Amino acid sequence: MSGSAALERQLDELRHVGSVDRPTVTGRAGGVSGGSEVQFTVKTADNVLQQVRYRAFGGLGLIGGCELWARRCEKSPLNALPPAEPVEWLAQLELPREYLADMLVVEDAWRDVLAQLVTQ
Amino acid sequence: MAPAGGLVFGLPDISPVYMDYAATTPVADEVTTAMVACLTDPRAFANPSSSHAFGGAAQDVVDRAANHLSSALGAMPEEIVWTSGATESDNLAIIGAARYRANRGRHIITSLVEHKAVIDACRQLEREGFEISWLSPGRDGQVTVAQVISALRDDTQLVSLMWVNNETGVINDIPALAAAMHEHPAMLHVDAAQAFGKLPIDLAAVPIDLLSVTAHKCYGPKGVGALYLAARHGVQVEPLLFGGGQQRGLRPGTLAPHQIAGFGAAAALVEARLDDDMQSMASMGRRLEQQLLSIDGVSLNANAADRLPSLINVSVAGVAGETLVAAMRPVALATGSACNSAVREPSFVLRALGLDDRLAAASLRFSIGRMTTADEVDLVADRFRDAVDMARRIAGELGQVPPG
Repeated sequence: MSGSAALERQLDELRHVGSVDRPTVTGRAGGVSGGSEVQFTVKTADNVLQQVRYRAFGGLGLIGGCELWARRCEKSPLNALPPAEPVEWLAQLELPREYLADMLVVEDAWRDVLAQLVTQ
Repeated sequence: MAPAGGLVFGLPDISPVYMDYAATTPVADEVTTAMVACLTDPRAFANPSSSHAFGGAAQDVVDRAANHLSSALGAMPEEIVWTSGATESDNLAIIGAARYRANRGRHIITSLVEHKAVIDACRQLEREGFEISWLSPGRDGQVTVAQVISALRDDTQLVSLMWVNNETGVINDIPALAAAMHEHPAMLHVDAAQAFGKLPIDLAAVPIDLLSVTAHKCYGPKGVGALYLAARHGVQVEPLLFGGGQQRGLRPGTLAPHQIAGFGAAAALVEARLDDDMQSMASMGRRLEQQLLSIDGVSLNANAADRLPSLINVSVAGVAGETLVAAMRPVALATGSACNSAVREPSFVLRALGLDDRLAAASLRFSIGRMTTADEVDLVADRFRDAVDMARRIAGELGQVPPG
């Protein structure tokens, strides 16, 4: 695994690591025992995704994917959230397809967030 | 493995520090001098096997090196066979000895935590119809004399055990094993790649039949090693290479006098400095170990009573191995897993010691050498503390989940 400069730039400044205080919803996917787990916590207000934070247990691609996604959707209006596209994240991070499994865990955790937002 | 170049996680920049002396060592100045002297000598460039004066000069270089190495090992110069390194020495010892004595028995004893050069050589012998007993070390990483003795059979013809484990630094009691095997006809091969230069080795006192060493682990050049074959035990091996008849046909091929000169100089340094080196590495090792283990959730892997203080293998609970490794990147050290594309394979040695995959993946091996300073030790310990904090911050409570 060689990673990429784009991944490294992402990892150099992890602005969204952590948990939102009193989150609106929490989305999870994966499992530590399987080697990769992601948890997103988000806070919404005024129909805007005000805060997105994550915890990630796994490889650098997983962390990079979480950071990329959290940066992209924070402050987005709920009715205009960007589509979650793991293959596009790979391209953004300049990572080979071996990292797709990591991105799919990120996507699953995000879908869990969306599912809970819809039911609210 | 972390991506190449740059920093990750925004941790402070620090100067690169080398703490992977168990993997390889820098070349000592004395070694460089000996090698350059050989390479620039107007006669020593020759083939040492040639009977002319030029060949004689090259042979003198080889003889001097054999004297140095054999002296450092407590052996005789004629018991040394030059090889390309410990991997070749291990292969020649195990496969060569097993094939040579195949009619006396086809049972071999080794352990699950040997270097791959031993494991794969034994696997090759399995394919050739030999039976291998794979001994499993205790949780402390040690393979005991009792384990080996109880595995011996009438048809056992070879026991191969490392002196010092390259991942954990655990020391097997080779002198006791050699003494205990004395009455049994099986030969004892010892991979001493990690032991030479770090422990006293006296083959005059310890009845080992075959012993592998390499130059690059003791401040010599890469590409040269040696196999000791005990003359007093009449040890013979079948060659693995053919052509030329050099080194009594055991390892044919034109010798490389400059490489051998380098190994000889490194061996001379080992002999001259062993006590000082052991003292200094023990002191630095203890200093580092104390700081590493003071961090919550950090545990020593293979905590045998007999262990090289200069090699410290720790696991960190609650973090993903890859995050930890990336955060430690300015420090050259070995990780508990091998990189294969995006998949990280936890160390087979740590798994054999009973570590679960997560802990094995979140392990780091720090190895200290002759040049390591107290400042470097403190810098690395501080960085490790930062790296563990960062890895825990990213994983948060996820890392606290017990393995399912």
